[in-house]
Amino acid sequence: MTPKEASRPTLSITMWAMLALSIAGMLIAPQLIMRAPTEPTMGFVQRIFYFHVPCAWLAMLGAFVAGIGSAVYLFKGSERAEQIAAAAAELTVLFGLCVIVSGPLWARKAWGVFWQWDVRLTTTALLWIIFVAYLFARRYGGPGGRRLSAGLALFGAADVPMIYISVSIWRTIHPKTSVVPSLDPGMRPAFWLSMLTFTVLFVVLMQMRLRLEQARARYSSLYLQAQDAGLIDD
Amino acid sequence: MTARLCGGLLAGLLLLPTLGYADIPPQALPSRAAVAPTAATTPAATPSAAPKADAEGFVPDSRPPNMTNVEEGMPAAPLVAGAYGFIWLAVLVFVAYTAKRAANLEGEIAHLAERIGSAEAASKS
Amino acid sequence: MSSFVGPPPSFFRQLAMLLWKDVKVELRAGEMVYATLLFSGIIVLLFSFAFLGGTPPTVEVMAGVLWVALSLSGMLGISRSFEREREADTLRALLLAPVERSALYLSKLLSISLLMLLVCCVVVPGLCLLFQMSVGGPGAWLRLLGLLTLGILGFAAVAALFGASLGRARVREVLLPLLVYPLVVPVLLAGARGTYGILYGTPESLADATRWLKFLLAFDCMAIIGGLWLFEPLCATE
Repeated sequence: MTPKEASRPTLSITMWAMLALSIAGMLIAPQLIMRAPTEPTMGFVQRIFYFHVPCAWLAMLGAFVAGIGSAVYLFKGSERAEQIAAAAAELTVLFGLCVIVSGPLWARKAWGVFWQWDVRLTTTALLWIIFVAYLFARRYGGPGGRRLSAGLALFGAADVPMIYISVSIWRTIHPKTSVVPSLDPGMRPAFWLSMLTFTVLFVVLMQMRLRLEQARARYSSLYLQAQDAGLIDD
Repeated sequence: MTARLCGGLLAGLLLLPTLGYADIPPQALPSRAAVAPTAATTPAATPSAAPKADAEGFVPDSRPPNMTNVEEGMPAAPLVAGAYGFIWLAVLVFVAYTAKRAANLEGEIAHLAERIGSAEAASKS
Repeated sequence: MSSFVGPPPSFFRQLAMLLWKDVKVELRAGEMVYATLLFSGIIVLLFSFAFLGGTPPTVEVMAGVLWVALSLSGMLGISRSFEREREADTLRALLLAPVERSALYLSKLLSISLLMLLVCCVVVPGLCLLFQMSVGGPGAWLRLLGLLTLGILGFAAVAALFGASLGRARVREVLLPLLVYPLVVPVLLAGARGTYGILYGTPESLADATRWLKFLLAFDCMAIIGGLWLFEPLCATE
């Protein structure tokens, strides 16, 4: 195998185009956000909403994809599914972190405190911790680390709705999901552009991360080939 | 056997809503002072018990905490800027870090492939 | 010789044999149980030192202390128990034997639950003694027992799954708590809030506690289902 055949670019042309699109979106979105009407109760600080909500949705999406990928890996033995799950898990950690930082900044002004043990906040914090543990287990869990982390992702993906169900018996001060469908018309362009931008970014980052995983797999197989050929000492 | 056990547990899980799980709606519940001592069937605290009440009395978990104090004097612009700035920074750092890892790995792959290719060529000649 | 011929033992017989094996090993060696019980006593003492000198802590704090002490002690015992199995390679032997996987998982779950129930026998009286915790009448005690049992089962369901599948990772002592604690947050949450409701003692607080009891029941069902399905895939060696 020649070096050229072994290597692959970080992203395909389509993905570079999509990355450029999402960067453009992230630059245009703030202008629309500034033009959107101010929310009467919370005022200017409510504008965090336009990035905070897309990050939250994508964190959940990442967790969902990681859960499905982990299930396929554990029960069907698909390596590709495991790679997809690992990529999605990293994105869950990234977007989860964005939610956990932007949310308290908003809460400090709107609620007077950075944090409150509300069901929605607890669910998100828990989801984030579970997927940080996923990455740790995958990296440091030894030979069975990938199976362990897959089990964690599955359990975590099912665990989080359990906390969500407790909304019927637990206090909540976090705005409900019904806020989005009933959004003021003036706020909709800014919100949906942000949503689109972040979704495109999610797809691009998934692709980048997936290629990295595939590169790791190629490196492992080449390493074994080199070992068999006696090129590498143990 | 696993399937049978799971089926049983799942049935138990689905039966749960019928056990009056949500029978007590979240509402303003009577304060402790209004609870009459005639509730003899309920296990009341013994008179010599240690103080049980918290500072604000029992707050049922169904009642949201009092969070209506919007901080009027606090400037919002630094908070908004901080939130947006962090999100952009996080995404940029992730993209840069992933690209760097990928580039390093591709370099090592190319190097290994070259060594294997040379070894194969040498063994054929 | 005749005992080797014939149909394999029934599921419940296998479960009973595996559970009895764990109990017997502990009764013979004993160091793990004693160490765990001593540790749980020390944890309660440490908490009492932390609140030394001031007014007695509120029932909300007592409820939290109960569940934190239980989970810390439980994790110590569970780690040690699985470590001993790994050293002797007994888990691999059991996986190779013609034993129902669900029986193996449930026996681990039940043995962990028994250990944690023993820990409760130290922690609850310790709290009553050092924190003047008073639970009230028989109804409240029954609820507390139900809460503890369901909470322990939920904790054990997750711990049994990941403890058995840790393998020989170098950082496994750190990895087990790291994997288990995030997943058992619902148990700790429901347990602490339910215990608070029981200790508070008013009708509405007891009703709150009953709601958390039902939540725990739902969690246990889900956790055990997850454990039963994931035990074999996670324990399979790569």
